[in-house]
Amino acid sequence: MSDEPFDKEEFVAYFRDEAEELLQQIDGDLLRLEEFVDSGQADPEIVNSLFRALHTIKGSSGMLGFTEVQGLAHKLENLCDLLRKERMPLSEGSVEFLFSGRDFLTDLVQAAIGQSAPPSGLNEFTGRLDQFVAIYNETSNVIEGKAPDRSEGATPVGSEPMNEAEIAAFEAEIERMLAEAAATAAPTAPATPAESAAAPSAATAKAVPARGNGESADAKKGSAQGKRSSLAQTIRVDIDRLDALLNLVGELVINRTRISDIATTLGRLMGDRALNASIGLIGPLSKDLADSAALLARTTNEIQESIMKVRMVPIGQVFDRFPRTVRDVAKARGKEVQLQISGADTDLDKTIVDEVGEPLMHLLRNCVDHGIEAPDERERQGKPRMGTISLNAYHEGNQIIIEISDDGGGINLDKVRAKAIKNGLIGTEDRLTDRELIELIFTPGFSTAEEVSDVSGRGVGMDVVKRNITKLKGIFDVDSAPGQGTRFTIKLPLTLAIIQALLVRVVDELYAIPLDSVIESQRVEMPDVRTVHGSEVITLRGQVVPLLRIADFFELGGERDPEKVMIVIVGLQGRQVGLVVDSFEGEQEIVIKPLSDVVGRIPGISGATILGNGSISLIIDVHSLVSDAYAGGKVTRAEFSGV
Amino acid sequence: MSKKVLIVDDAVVMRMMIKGILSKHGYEVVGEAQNGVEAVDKYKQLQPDLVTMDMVMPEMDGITAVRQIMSMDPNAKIIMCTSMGQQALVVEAIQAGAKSFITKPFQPPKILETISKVLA
Repeated sequence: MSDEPFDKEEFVAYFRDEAEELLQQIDGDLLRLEEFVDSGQADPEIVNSLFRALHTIKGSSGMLGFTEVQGLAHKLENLCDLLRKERMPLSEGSVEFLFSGRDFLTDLVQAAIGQSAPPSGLNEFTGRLDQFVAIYNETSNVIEGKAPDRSEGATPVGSEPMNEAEIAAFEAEIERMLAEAAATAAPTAPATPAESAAAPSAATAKAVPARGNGESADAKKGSAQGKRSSLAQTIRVDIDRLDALLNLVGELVINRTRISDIATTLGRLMGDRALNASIGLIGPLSKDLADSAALLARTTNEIQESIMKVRMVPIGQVFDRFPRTVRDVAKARGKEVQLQISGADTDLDKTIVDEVGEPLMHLLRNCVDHGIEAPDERERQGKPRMGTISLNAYHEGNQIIIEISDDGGGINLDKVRAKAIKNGLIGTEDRLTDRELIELIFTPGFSTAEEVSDVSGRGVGMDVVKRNITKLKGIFDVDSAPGQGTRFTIKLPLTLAIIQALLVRVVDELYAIPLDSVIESQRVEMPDVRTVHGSEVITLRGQVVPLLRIADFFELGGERDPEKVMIVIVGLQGRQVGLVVDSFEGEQEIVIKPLSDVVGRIPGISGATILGNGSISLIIDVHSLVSDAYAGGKVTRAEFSGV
Repeated sequence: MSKKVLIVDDAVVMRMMIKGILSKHGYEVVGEAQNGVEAVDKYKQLQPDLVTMDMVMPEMDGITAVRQIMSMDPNAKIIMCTSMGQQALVVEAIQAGAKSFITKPFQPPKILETISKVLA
C-alpha cells in the first residue's frame, strides 16, 4: 500500500494489545480443549472460539503486513477447521500442535512488533504441521470421495504473502459460484453476480463452517446481551495518559496540603486580637479561605481515590497464563499437578500487576519443580498422586496478599544448612533458627537442587524474586512444614504513588518514613541503650532491637543527646530496627517522586516528596536500612550472648 | 451530505483501518460493532447508509447478522469483509442479501471502488 491511510505505529500498538488478549484466550481454550482428549471429541464451542481468535489474528496481522504471523495463524486456523468439521479426531497430537503453534505465534507477534528476534525452529514446526494437516485433509477427501478441496480453507498460504493474483483468483471463484447458484436457484436473477441480492435460499454450498456457529450464537444470546452491555461501557486508555493524570493529581495533593497549611496559619494569626482589630475585614476572608481549603481537600481526596480506582485492574490478568505454565512444567518433570486459583478478581494497581507476573511465575515453577514430589513418591507417603498448588489473592487493609502454597515436601532445612555451610555462608557451629535457615534461600546463588534443571535450580531464583517484590515495596515471606508443603506469602501495597508517612527531623533535615513499616515510636532513656559488639541495641518486650542512627548513616553530623534517644521502630518480616531521630513531626500523606537519574541511587533513600510548605523531604528506604542493620548476623550473635 | 457507515468487525485493528480509509475519503463512520448482535442493534439505532460486515465473529456471525438486518430493512446495503478460503460463506452471505464483498488484506482503492459501486 503506497498511500498509507493510517498511522502504522498506533495500529501496531492496538494489534499488540489485541493479539495479547487473543493469545491468552487461545491458551485458555486449549487448556479446556485438552480435557476432551480422552473422549476424542472436541466441544464445538471451544473449537469455534479458537478458530475465531486465530482468524482475527490472521486478519489483523495481514492488514499490517506481518506475513509470518498471518501465515502461521492461517495454518493453525486450518487445523482448527479440521477439528471443527470433525475431519480430524481430537488427539494429544493435535492439541500439542496447537499448543506449540500458539507459542510460535506469540514469538512471531513479538518479533513482528520488534520486541524480539524471530523464533528458531519455525520452519521445522510448520513443516511438521503441514504434513500432519495434509494427512487428514487427504484422508477425509478420500472418504468423502472429493477432489482435493480448494474451496474451504485448504488454500495453501504458507508464509508467502497473499498476493493480488491469488486474491483475484479467489474473487473470480466466488463470482463463478454465485453465477452457478443464481443459475440453479433463480433463472431471473440479476446478471452481475457479485451485486445480486438473490433471495435467501437453502440451496447453498454443503459444508458451511459457520452454520453450527450461528445456531449456538442464537442459543446463548441471553449471555451475549449481558456481556455486550459491559463492553459498551468500557474504553481502552493508554497507561501513559493515566500516569500523567496521576502525576497531576499528585501535584494537586501537595498543593492542597499547602493551602490547608496557609489557612491554618492565617486562622491562628486572626485569633490574635490585637492583629485582628487592626485589619478588620480580613477576618471573614480568613474563615472563607479555611472553608474553601477544607472543600478543596475533600474534592482532591475524591479525585485521588477515583484515579486510583481507574488504575486498578484485576490481578487475574496475570493469573491467566499460569495454568499453562504449571501444566508445561509438570509435564516436563513427570509430575501430576493441579493449580487452584482463587481471588482472580482482586484489584491492584496496573503498574504492580505488570511487575508481579514474573516473580509469581517463578514461584509457581519452583513449587512444581522442587515442592511437589514425583507421583510415586507421593503415593509412598500416603498423599494423592496429584499434587495441589493453590494461588490465592485477597485484600487486607491497604494491601493485597498473594499466597502460593503447595502440598509438597516442604523446604529441607538440613539440606539448606549443609549447603550454607558448604558455601561458607554460615559456620558449622552457628545455631540458626528455622526462620533464619529459610532466609538463607534468598541469598544470591543459593539452590539446594541437586541437579540444575531447565526449569529452576540455577540458583538465580529466590533472591531475584525477593528483590522484585521488594522493589514493589512489597513483603515476601516463606513458611514451610517438612512433608506438608511450602507457602509463599507476598504482601503488596495497592498503589505505589501516594503513601502515608511519618515525618521525622534529623539534624536540619526532614525525612519521611512509610507508615506501613512503622511499628511504634518512643522515647528511650540513654541508660536503657546497651552496646553489644560495638552496636547499640535496646530490649523491647524481651526482643533485642538494634538501633541505627539516621544522622550517622547519612553522615549528617550533629550532636547526640546524652540523656535520651527518640526512636522509630520499623519492622520488616519479623525483623525490627530502631531508627534514631531528633524529633517526630507528625503523619502526612505524601506523593512519591522517584529521584532523578542525575542524582542516581542513594543507599537508604527510596525517593523524595514535596511537602505542604514546598520543602523537599527524602523518603527512607526501610528495607535497605533493616538489611544493613542485620548484615553480618550481628543480632543473632547478640541474642546468643545473652543480652 | 456524506454517507453514514457502520463498521462491524471483532478485530479492533480492522475497524480502525477501515475507519481510517473511509473517513479520509469523505464517509462518516457513525458507529462500530464488534459482533453480530451489536451490529443488528446499532443498525436499528443508527440507520446507516452502508455496513461493512466481518464474517467470523463471536456471539453472532456476519451471515446471521446480514439475515437479521435484511429482515428489518430489505434495502440495507451490506458489504462483506472476507478472507481467502471463505468462498462458500461469501456466496451464502450474498444470497442472504449482502450486496458485495471485499477481500482481506484490504487494498484501499478496491474498498472505495466497491463501496461507491454499492452506494450508486
